Amino acid sequence: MFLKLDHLRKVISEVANIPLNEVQEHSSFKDDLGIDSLQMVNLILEIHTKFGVELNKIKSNDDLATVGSMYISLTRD
Amino acid sequence: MFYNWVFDEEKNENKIALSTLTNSYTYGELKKEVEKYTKILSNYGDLKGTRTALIIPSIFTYVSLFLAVNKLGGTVVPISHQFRKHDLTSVLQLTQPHIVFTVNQHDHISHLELLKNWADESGKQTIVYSYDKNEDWAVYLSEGEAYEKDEEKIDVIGCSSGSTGVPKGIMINMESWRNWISQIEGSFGVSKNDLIFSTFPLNSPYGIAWALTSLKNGLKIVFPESFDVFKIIHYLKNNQCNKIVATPSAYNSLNMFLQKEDRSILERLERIMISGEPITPGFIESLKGMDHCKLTGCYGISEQGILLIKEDMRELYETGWDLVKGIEVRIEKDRELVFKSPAVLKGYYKRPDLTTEVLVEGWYHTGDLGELLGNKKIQIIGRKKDMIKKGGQQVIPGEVEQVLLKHKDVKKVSVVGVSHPTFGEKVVAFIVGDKLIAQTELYNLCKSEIAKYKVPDEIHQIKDLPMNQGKVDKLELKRMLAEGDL
Repeated sequence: MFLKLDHLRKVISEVANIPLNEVQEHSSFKDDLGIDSLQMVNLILEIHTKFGVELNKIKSNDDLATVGSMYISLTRD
Repeated sequence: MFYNWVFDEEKNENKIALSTLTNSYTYGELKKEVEKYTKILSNYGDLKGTRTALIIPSIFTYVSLFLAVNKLGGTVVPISHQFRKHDLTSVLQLTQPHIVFTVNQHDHISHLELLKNWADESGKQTIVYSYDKNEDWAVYLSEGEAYEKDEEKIDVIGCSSGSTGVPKGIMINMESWRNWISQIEGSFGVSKNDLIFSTFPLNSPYGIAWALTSLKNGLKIVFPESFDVFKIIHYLKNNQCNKIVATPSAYNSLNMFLQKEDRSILERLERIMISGEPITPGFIESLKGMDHCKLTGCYGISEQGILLIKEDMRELYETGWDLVKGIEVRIEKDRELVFKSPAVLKGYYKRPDLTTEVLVEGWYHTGDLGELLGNKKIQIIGRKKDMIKKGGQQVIPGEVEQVLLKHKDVKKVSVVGVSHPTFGEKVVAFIVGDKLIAQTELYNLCKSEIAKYKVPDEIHQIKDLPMNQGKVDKLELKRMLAEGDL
């Protein structure tokens, strides 16, 4: 399944128990959504399972700063 | 005292004593820092019987304070900086520290604010030291009478959530720490040529035991200040770590990325040492392809140190655990495992009733169930106590239940642990209320009151809790969840 930003927002909202409207492209995982490292691992594995996205697309911590930066890293070629 | 173990004559001042992901500190720097805090604490005279709580995310500051308090004969009370209002307050109420060292703010939580409020409301005198981003310390003093000092000598009070949600203070003295260290030295074959990576937090007795073993023997062990998978992977890429000490869930998280990303990090590992959560068949399966590496598992508890070891975890389910040298075991009629260990706790702080309930003539009742396989091998088969192990940390259902009951519309609640591939177990709450309660309100309540790892991963509102012989039927709740019968 092709990953769209709204898909990603929905998975984040479900995994982290945060209302969808609070999960925005500019939301910071740490500061706005309060997602810790183990939750982040869980989230990435959920995305991997649901959308078949390869884990090695994430190159650094910067890729996991915001919802938008995660989306860009997961969808780049 | 710990100070003498750490700064013996053989240690070169320029040798690295402590490492985090970003910094290293020499024995010389550590000694200077310990002396700085010793000077501050000397203002309070003899520290015997005085309790000093440390709520410190910086490992260098934490270890320095730990050694300074102990050097002056005081009691160290390490407290997790992940705690929030509810869990922090209950630990403070139990241990009633005379002095607290903390950080102003960390991870969006104002520790100083929480501490000041607690100290003012207690009506007793507490000295609160807090530091800011520039590492400048400020002092706050709450008014009131001083707390009574302890008559007996207590070196460390380790705090854990009790089975009812009321915390327990595990008193551990020098002789037991000495034995903890011997157990680590003897069980894991650590040497000065190793570069070891540990994921255990230094406020837990197991983490403290590793830190003391490292400092005493001049080992190279890296302690990350937070469990950040990508920072850790980055570190492992650039440093030749040959051993890892981790919980199954922490190792799993690293492993899942390393398998895809950079197997060379896994290939240079000589040993992984796993403990802190049950080692499941699924976890053993994830160790495939690690035949070049020793895969050691261990079972221990904060109250007694390391009790059981398995040199090769892959054989755990065929041949069972081995007793660690110096440990004796007994199995009760109800199959509860009871051990005698030289690293035993002195008792539970201010709870002689609880101490005599579980510690009889040096034999400690673990609350875990097991069976003898013959030839002194042991298999662990379950838990008698109601406890969830999430990401290597203990979550006591009672504590989470108390927080959810603070919501005005929650009438009944039950919290259970359910198997989870990343966390080991996830925290699932079932609530009953007269009207539909917004999930956001419940999550926000939990997030503000307890450490993040204790916040439920799922909350389900159901009509009523299933009961069996007057108790909530948690097995039925787990079945309902598994079958989607909610």
